[in-house]
Amino acid sequence: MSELSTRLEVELADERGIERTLGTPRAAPPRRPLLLKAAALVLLIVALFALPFVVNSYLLFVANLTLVYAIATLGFDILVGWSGQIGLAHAALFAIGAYGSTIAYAHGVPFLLTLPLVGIGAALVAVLIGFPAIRLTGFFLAIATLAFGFVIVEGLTAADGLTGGGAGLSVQIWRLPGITGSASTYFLTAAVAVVTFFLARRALYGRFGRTLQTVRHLGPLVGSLGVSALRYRLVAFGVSGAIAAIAGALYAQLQTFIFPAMFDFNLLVPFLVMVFVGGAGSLLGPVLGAAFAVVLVEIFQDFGDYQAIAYGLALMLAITVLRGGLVSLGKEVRDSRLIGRLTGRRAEKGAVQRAQ
Amino acid sequence: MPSDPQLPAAGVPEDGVHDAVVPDDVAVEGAGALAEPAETPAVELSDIHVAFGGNVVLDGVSLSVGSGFTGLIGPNGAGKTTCLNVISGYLRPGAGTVRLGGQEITGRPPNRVAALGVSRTFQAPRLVPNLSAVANVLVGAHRHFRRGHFAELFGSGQARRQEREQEARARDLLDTFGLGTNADRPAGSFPIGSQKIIEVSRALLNDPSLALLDEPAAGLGAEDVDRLVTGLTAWVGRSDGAVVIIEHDLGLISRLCPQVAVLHFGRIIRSGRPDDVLHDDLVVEAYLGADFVVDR
Repeated sequence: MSELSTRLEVELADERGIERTLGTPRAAPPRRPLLLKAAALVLLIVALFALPFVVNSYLLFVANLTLVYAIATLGFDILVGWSGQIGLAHAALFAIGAYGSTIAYAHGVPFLLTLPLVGIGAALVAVLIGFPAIRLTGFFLAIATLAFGFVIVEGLTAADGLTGGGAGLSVQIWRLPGITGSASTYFLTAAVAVVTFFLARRALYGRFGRTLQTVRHLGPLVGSLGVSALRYRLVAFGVSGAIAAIAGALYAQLQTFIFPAMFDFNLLVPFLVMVFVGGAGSLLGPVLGAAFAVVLVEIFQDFGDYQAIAYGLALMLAITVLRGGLVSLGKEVRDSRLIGRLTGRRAEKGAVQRAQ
Repeated sequence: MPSDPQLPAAGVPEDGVHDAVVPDDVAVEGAGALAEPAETPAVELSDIHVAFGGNVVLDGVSLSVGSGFTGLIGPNGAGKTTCLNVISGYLRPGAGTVRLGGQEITGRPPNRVAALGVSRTFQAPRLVPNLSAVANVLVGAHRHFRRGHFAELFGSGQARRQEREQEARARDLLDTFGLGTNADRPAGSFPIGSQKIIEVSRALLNDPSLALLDEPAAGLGAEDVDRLVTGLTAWVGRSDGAVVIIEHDLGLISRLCPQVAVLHFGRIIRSGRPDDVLHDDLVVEAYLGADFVVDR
């Protein structure tokens, strides 16, 4: 009888399953002097917006792609790293943004207006996709959302009247008066990135982030604090979907031509790599992960299928050796636990330290 | 042994007799002893039945709890945690009603129940290890945040003020539990005893009219138990809330709780003042040696 009456807690303890193996968000960064912070921020923004004037068009494309991926990965990280839910429809939501914005712009909607529109639309779709989260967690949620993602990508192929089907769709380029299309896209991407990361920082290191993490760690038990676990889990899906779609709209502008096969597994795996190699549950992680993925693709461009192997290896290394991703590299090296993990000699000691 | 599963089964055929002889007169006596007739009890269970399959866990539990501390004790498997699960909405009873301050709340989901001012803690502390102690405690104030997440996102002054106010409350509360100086350390870096205290603080920041604590002192060292008792007593003195404590440490129960109810095989077999209850023959028999623990 005692087992039965406490069954609730035992079940919940087991249920955390694979989410537990993922990196957890780290604590809020220490508060630095305001002047220093402002100076760093201004420097960063100036550097971002000065870039088109100093680099060639190839490097500008690479920088732009990195920023687009960083925004999309931030959205994915909010779902996976912060709320601890493995939703695998992210590439499809990214596609909704790309197609939605391109089609709306072609039909006369002002381009800047298409960004919030696809954001809202994708948020609604993401919440629908997240509905299995009422009952499912971990592996089963991953499968359910993956299926939704495939349905969406297949739907894009099937609706060829609107989307051009498997043959693809040419993107009408938006440009600011007086400058080239690629520079316009870059400026817009940089602005969206700055705003998104600023807002994400405020929310994630504030009440929203701590409630989301509590939902993640307590599961349904969080109800005892008056928090609806379900609502927060669905909101995480919605926010993540909105950010994905806005990044997708920018991605379409960058690529100038989009087709459904761009948004299947070949994009989902890089997204996973970016989240985990960069470091789940941090703000810098998505940026580092995006830079890593883009650089990896550029280096291995000539090697064809080896790209996939490189992605696989990177993901394996990130999960086995560098659990916290690239953001934790400095700390790991400092604690010199990296060597210990590889040889297994210091693993036990590390575990004890963490437990205390 | 009291945990012999045959005992309640054997009691079933002669249920009528059993009811008439023991629990009925106890229930009357218990209700009188536990709640002042004039005031509305903080929580009132009437005739709660819970069964998992054929396994009867709560068999007609009636209990009313007024403000201050109430101990809920009984041998393992008596249904104590199940009682808390029923009150906090995690279990829908097969029959019976739960009233909170006179309002019926039977079958409402946990977050709605908590929003009415019912907090609870669990046997194993569940904190977010990488968040600071004070951030963990702040989550308990959820229902007191009037401004939504959009206000926070766009940095409205009211949202900031509200956050500051709640943070001050959280720090105050941690102070009363003697953890104020380390409030900014990650919760995971605290020893398990302190983590349990942080969890209790989180539950109390809800400012509940009823706090349900499931073995808050289990696994705590003497120093931590003192902190817990000091903090809880201070909180009850300040807020006039009701606290239901499940605890195996009967010394702590008799030190803290003016009222005690004893659960045994899903029934309240005795309730009243700890001195009387803990020396009652029936209770001693249920515990087999509880008497010894108290007298020591």
